[in-house]
Amino acid sequence: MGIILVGLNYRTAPVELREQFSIPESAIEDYLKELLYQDGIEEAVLVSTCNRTEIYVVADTPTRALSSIETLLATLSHVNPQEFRTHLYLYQDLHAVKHLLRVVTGLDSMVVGETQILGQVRTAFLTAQQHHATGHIFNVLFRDAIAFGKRVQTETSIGQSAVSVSYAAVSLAKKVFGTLSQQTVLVVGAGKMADLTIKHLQAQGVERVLIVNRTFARAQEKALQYGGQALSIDRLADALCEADIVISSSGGQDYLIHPQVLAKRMTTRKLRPIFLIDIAVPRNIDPALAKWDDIYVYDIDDLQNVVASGMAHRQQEAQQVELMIEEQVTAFEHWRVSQDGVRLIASLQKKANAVQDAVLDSLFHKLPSLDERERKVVQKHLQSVVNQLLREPIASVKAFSQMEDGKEQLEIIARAFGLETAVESQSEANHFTVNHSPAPVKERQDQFRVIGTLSTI
Amino acid sequence: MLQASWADYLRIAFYFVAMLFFYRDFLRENKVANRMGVAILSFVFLLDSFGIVDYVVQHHHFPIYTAAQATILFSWLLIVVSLIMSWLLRIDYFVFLLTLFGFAFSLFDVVIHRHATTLHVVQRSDLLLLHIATALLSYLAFSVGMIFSILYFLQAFSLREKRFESGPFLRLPPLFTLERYSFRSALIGEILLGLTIVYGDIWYAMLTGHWLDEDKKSIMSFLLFWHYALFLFLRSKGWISARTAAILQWIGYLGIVINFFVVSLVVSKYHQW
Repeated sequence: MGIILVGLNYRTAPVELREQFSIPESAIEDYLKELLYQDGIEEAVLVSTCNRTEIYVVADTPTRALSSIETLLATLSHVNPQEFRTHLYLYQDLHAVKHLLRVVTGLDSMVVGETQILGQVRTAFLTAQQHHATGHIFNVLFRDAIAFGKRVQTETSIGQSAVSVSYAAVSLAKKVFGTLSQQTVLVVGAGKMADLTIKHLQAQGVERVLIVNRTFARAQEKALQYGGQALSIDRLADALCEADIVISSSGGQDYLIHPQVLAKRMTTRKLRPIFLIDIAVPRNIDPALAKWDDIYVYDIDDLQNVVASGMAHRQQEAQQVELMIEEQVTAFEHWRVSQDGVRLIASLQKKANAVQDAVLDSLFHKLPSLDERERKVVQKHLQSVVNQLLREPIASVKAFSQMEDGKEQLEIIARAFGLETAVESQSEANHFTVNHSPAPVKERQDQFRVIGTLSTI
Repeated sequence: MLQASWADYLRIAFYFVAMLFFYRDFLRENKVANRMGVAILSFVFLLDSFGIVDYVVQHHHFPIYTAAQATILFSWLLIVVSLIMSWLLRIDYFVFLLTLFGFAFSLFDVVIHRHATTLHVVQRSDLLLLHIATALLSYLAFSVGMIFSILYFLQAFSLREKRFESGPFLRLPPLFTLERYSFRSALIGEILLGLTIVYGDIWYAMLTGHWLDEDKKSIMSFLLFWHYALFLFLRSKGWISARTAAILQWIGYLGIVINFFVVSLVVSKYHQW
C-alpha cells in the first residue's frame, strides 16, 4: 500500500481552471464513495480550497489509482483530461507526506505561513473520516500532520507577522495597545486603505469609531457603514482627545494633525499613548510629532516596511519549519517501516501456525490411539518448539523495524522463511515507497507532472 | 542549605550555563536553547529547594536569619519567578534578564558577600521574620518591575525607531502590557516595602524600647519608599509619561541596589543586610 497525491494549485493552474476543480462540500461524500469504489483504493481524502484541489489516496498500485483519480477529475470538472493533465502534480509516499506537511504549515500557500489552510485540511480529513473513507494509514498521517501544523504555529512565529499594508497598521496598533477592544479609533478622511484598516480593527474587537471628513455628509455615510459617529472637520481637536488610534487619509497639502492640535489632547488624556497612522500622500500628520513622548506616528512607507520585514521574517521562519518537516517525515517513515515489521511478524506467525496444524493433523492421523490428554501434551510441546524457533526472528524483525535502513533486512527475513507472498507485496511496497517513480508511474510521466523533488514545482 | 564552597560553585556553574542558553535564545529566537535553559534552571531550583527543605527539617526555622541565607533565599525566589514567567507568560527576554540578574546576584554573594558577612544569629521573633520576608519580597517585586521597565524601553525604542525586524518588536509583548506589569510590580513592591519598614521599626522598638531612627539603611529605605510613592502617584494621575516613569523606576531601583549592597555592608551600623 502506498500513498498517492494528485492535485493542482495556484502555482500550476490558473484560476479559470482551478474553479472547475473546486469540489462543493455537498458533493464530497459522493466523490469519496466513487474513489473507494475503485479497485485498489483503500483510503481517500479530498482537500478543496480556492487555491488548491488535492486528492490523497492509499492504493495498492499507482497506475490504477491514477487512472481512477483522472477519471474522477474529468467527471468533476467536465474538462477533457488532455487539457488538464499538464496542470496536475503527483507526489508519492514520503514526497506526498512531505507535501501534506508543507500544506498544513502554510509553506505551500500563496501567503507563506497563513493558518487558514490547517483548518481546511482538518475539515477535509474529518469529512473523509465521517464517511469512512480513511483507514489505518490516513488516520495516523492526517492526525499527525494536523498536530504538526498546530505545533509549528505554537513553536514558531511563521504566521504572526503582517503581510498586508492594512493589517500592518493593525499589528502595529496591537504592539502598542495589546487588545484593541477598549480603544477608540478616529478616521480622518476616506479611502480604500482606511476602509480595509477599519475592517481589520473591527475584526480585532474595536467598537468605537469616530469619523471626521471635510465633507460632513461623507463622514455620515462612512459612520453609517461602520457603525461609527460622524464629526465635522472643525471638531478634529475634540475627536483627537477621545481617540487612541488615528487613521488619516485625507486629501490636501497641509498637515491636519500637528503639535498645536494634539497639545490639548495630550493634556486632557493624561499622557495616554496615541497611535497615528498616516496613509495619505501628501501626509496629513506632522512627522515632528513622532518626537513626543507617548505618540507613535507611522506613514505609508513605514507600513510597507512592516510588510517587507513580516515577509522576510516568515521566510526566515519557513527555513526552520522545513527542518521540522524533515524530522516529521522521518518519523512517519519509521512508523511505516514498523508497520511493515508488524505485517511480517503476522505472516510469520500465520505460516508457523499453518505448518504446526498440518504436522499435528498428520501426527494424529498416524497415531489414532492417542487420548485427549496425550494430544494436548503433543500439541503443547510442538507449540513450544515453534515459539522457540520464532523468538529470535521476531525479535530481529522488531529490531529491524526500528532501524532507518531496516527494510532490506525485513525482506531477507521474509525470503528466508519462504514468505513469498509477503516478500512480493513487501517488495512492491518498498519500491513504491523508496523509488519515487516506479515503473508503472513512469509510463504516465508524459501526462502528469511527476514531482521528483519539491523544488521542481 | 548548601554550605560547602564546591556546592556553591557548582550551583553557580549550572546557573551560568542556564543563562548562556537563555542568552542564545535572546540573541536569536531558539526554542531548543530556551528549553535547555529552563531545564537547567529547574535543576538549580531543585538543588536550592532541597537545601532549603533540608535546613528547615534540621533547624525548624526558615534559613532567613543571616545575610548569606537571606541572599540564597532571595536568589531562590528569583529562580521561582523566572520559571513561572517562562511557563505562564513566555516572555523570553524577561526570563533572560531576570536570570542574568539572579546570576550576578548569586555570583556577588559567593565571591564577596558571603566572605564579608559575619554569620551571626540575631534575636529572632515573628515580627523579624515578617520584616525580612516582606523586605525580600519587596526587592523581588521591584526587580520584576525594573526588568519590565527595561523591556518597555526596548519595545518603545523599536516602535519609535521603526525597527520592525528587531527582536524586541517581534518578540516582546505590547507596550501597554509591559508598562502595566512594571507599574503593578512596583506597586506591590511599594506596599511590601511599607510593611517592611513598619515591621522592622516595631520589632526594634519592642526589643530596645526606642526607634531605630538613625540607622542609614532605615533612612535610605524610608526615602526609597517616598520615591516610589511619588512615582506611582504621578504615573497613576497621568502627570508623567510612561518614559519618564520608567526612568524614575530605574533611579528607584538603583537606590534599592545601593541600599541592599553598599549601605548594608559599608554604611549601616546595625543592618548587615
